[in-house]
Amino acid sequence: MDAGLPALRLRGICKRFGSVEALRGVCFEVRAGEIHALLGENGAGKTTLMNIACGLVRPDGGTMELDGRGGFPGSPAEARRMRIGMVHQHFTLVDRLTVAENLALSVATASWRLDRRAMAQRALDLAAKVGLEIGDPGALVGDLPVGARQRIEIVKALAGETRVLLLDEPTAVLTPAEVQQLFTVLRRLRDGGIAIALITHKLREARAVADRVSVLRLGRVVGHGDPKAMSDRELAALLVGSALPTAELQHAVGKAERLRLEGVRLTPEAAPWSLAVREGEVFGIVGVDGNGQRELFEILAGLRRPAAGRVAVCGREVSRFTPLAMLSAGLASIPPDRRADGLVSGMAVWENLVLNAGLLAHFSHWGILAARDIRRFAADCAHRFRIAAADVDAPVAGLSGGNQQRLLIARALATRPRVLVAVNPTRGLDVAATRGVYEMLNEFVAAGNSAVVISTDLDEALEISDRVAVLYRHRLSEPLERPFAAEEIGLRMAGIWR
Amino acid sequence: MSEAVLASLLQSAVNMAVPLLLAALGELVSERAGVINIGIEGKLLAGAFAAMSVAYVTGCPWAGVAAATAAAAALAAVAAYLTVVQGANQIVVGTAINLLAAGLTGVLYRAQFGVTGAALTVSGLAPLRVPVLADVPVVGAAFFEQTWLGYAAFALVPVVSWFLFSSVPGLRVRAVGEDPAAAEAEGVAVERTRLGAVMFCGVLSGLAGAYLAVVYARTFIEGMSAGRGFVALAIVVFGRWMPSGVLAGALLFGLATAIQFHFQAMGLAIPYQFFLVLPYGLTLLILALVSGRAAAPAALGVPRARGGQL
Amino acid sequence: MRIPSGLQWAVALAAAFAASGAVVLLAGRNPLGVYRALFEGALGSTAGLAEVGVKGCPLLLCALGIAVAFRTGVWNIGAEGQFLFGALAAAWVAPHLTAVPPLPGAGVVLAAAAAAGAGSAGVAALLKQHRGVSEVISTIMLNFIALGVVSYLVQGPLMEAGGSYPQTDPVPEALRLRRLLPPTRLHSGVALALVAAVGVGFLLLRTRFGFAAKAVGANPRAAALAGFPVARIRTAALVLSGALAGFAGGVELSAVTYRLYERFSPGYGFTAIAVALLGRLHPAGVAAAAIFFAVLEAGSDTMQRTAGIPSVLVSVVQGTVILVLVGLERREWLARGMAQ
Repeated sequence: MDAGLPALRLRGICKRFGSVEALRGVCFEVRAGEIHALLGENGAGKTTLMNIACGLVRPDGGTMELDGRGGFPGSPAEARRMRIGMVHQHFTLVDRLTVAENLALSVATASWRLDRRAMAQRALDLAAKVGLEIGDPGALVGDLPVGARQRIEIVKALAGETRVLLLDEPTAVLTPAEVQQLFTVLRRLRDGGIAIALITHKLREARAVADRVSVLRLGRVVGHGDPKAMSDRELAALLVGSALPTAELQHAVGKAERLRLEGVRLTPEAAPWSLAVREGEVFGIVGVDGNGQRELFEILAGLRRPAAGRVAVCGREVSRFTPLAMLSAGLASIPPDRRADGLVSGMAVWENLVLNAGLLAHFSHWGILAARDIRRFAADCAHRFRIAAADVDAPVAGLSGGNQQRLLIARALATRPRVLVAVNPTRGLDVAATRGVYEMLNEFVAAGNSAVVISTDLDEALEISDRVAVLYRHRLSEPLERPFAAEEIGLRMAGIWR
Repeated sequence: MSEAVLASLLQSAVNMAVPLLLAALGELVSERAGVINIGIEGKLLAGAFAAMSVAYVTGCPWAGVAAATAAAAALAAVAAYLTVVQGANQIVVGTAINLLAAGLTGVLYRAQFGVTGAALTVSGLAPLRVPVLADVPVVGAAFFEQTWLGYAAFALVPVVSWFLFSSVPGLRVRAVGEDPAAAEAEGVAVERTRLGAVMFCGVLSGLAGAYLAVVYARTFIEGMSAGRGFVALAIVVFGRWMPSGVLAGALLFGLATAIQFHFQAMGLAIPYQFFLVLPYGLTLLILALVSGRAAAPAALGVPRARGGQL
Repeated sequence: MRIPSGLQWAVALAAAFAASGAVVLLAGRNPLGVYRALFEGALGSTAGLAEVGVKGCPLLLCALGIAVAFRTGVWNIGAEGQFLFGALAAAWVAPHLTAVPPLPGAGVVLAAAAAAGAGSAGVAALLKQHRGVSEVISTIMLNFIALGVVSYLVQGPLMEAGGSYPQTDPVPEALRLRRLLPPTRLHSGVALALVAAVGVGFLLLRTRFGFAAKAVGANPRAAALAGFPVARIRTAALVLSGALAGFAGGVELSAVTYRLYERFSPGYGFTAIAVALLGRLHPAGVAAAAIFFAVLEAGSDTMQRTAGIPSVLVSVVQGTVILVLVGLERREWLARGMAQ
């Protein structure tokens, strides 16, 4: 291994998004001819760190050195000129361009001309050099399977004389065989002298391919070392944190079933999902993004019809999968992205509080809004759920994240549901706000209702759930009971089944 | 139908098609980059007015053409700044540009040339006859006795096609119109690309306006763009966002307009308004048959959120 | 949707009058004299004020419809065509209603107009819902189709009996909307427009539909998740929008022109887009903007006559006000609207 200067060195990197500290003084380096894995859960700050290194995000503080030269890239184009290549978790391929065109897009050329044949040949040459199969360069990217797209992403990142290759969760969408192929390629590139940073949450992958591993947790590096010298257990403990709160819950779980999924499949070929949630229970579903959470939520929220299987709320089977049908069946949901899916930012607090077809029907007669009732309701909600707004006429966009989340929960609860489905209910919230959300959930189930918390945050799921199931690669595990073996769950999230 | 009638019909069809083709090619590039220009109508009008008045004052139609592109480009710059840089709604800005152009040209025209009903005429661009080809019966006069603006319009079809599909900047244009976030992550300057596309559209609509003033009418009439900007928008949709489709659309719309003037000579029993409505109805029908959004650039009309995908 | 601050308004108006003042100077006239003529023409006499009502009526009705659509995130550019279809239906129905008592008769005429406008917008709505056709394009197409259809009918099947002009028979006298202040053209349709403004205001601000429409326009994903039928609400908004424009056409026919002819609309449907935008899609704002535009339109004739500046100058004012307001507001205002 080259023991010289690190090819890429990041020091003391800080970044805030609003009230959230994503990175708090992170140091990270990769040497030429090394694969350095950056391990961490969702929200640990891995992607933000890489986006800083590839010019998409400007840091608030810290320094960056590339081959001894200082300075952050100001744009992705500049990063590319600095010979940094990045494979994003979300593909940056344009679906309606061909493979060759996508590759040509990222390669800076002096020529104006886009010679189709030369372009196709260059794409094939590039792919051959890297040792990846990209198929027909004239095919539209949108028509290709994800594994093929992933390979194109990597070829694209290596176009030009790339010195540093950053990969953000590159295996999330690959089959095991494809993962092995990818690792072979990465090893060859490493041996060719390229510095590789691999972001992953999968212990096994880090162990299989990395020469060095750093663990990022809540915006800080909490450990690093040689993965071959560390046990799965050690790594998992670093990954999920040591002080796992398993305080006693006060939930009085009853017998009655509130929600039941039986053999629910996204597609006829997909693995079936089954679960049963009882009254008074918080049921946690943990997993890393992209493993089926979004789809599970969409089914429960009535935005997606499953290909097969049954969903029953309070013993009654749901036949229509629309948001309104779910609401009237007694299931309310809190979407993963507050701003994009939950709130209407141009509306006032009171308007957002009644932004629900069922509630609005309740608060109107013959289609006319009962303005006074609505305002009384809104003021009451704001008071009861401690939504700190100047008044209910204030624009909702001015509220803090915690207040926005309490507003969403207050609205969901106002429909008097028996089941509440929440996705990452405390993402981006500070400790006090997180507490507040948990209290609301606890109060809700204490009244004999149930909650399903779909979360990427293991701590959260463990703290508030009575039972936890793991969602990994669209497979839902059997639920685990309290007291939880946190390491066991951590291993399952990382794809290691015992 | 006699050969003479047919030839004359075809000639006026091509003449009507030229400004539509110019404007639609500009709009095509702009839409491929993700920006729709409702204000193209106003840019045409501004171009026509600038062309006529400068040609009138200087006596040189070429100066008029240059002035037309400058005037339309100025309006395009305002629209581009507001929609691309500031992310303002493209329809709102386009509507305002149309109003502004109608007002400016109307007031300045009357101030400059009075309210006289007698139409002023300017010396127009002279047609360039292509020897031999222009003598081909029926189609010769239509296609080979054009002004250089007319030839330029037709020549632009393969040029735009080459630009979009065989050049690096064209590839960037398409990428930006399909997926600005991905394009940005790949190092494409989204804003600059869109600004360029909108300005190109401005220049071409200026040329289209110039054609109306110094070739077709050889004068200026208030509101002489007469909806051609909106027709250009329709042609782009009709042509499925392809240069060849746009050419076909421009010729079809041109022919439909020409038939209105010739239908009596042609002895048709159909009311001429049928041809007035036909292209629009056809566009709607085509859109309805081949589902609407399929061919449109995916990010058309969407202002770009700055700062990547966080 | 935020209402612009008083300062933004002041800046926009000042800029607009300054810009058009510059144009007037370019034209070799004194801007102050021109503006005095403009405002005296509109506000300095009973006849002028009555004309403000006459011009404001179609502008207000069409702009209300556009506001309903735009608030819901539906970009109806077709008010001009819907206005024409409305007038066409009125002109076609009216002569057949001689046996009907005046009041219900006039009601039928206006209802036919509204239905025709709604129907033509409904075509765009259907194309959008089932075929994904952008309503921007389809409503523009329908504008041209309306022009062609009117042109054909007034020269053909609906041409006046015995006459030689390309226009329809007049609306029977009994079915006309009453003139309120002869000899001015002020008519009772103006009152109908004001009632419509109050009604649309009530609908948008006080009803479930208005609430849902606003949510759909501002964040369709959140609205869908909240259980609102997004596609149905969009369709309803577009159809209602067309009905209001069609109604405007019916009122214009049975109160002002009495006949349909080729250049029936001086572009009310297009100007109304500016009115709606200037009024920030809020019913009260739209009413204020309609009055402002009507003052400009009504005074522009006098201005043209006495100050020698063509009436289209008001378009410069109108265009500049919108551009400056958009520029002042940066990216927040309406910017998300077209995203769907």
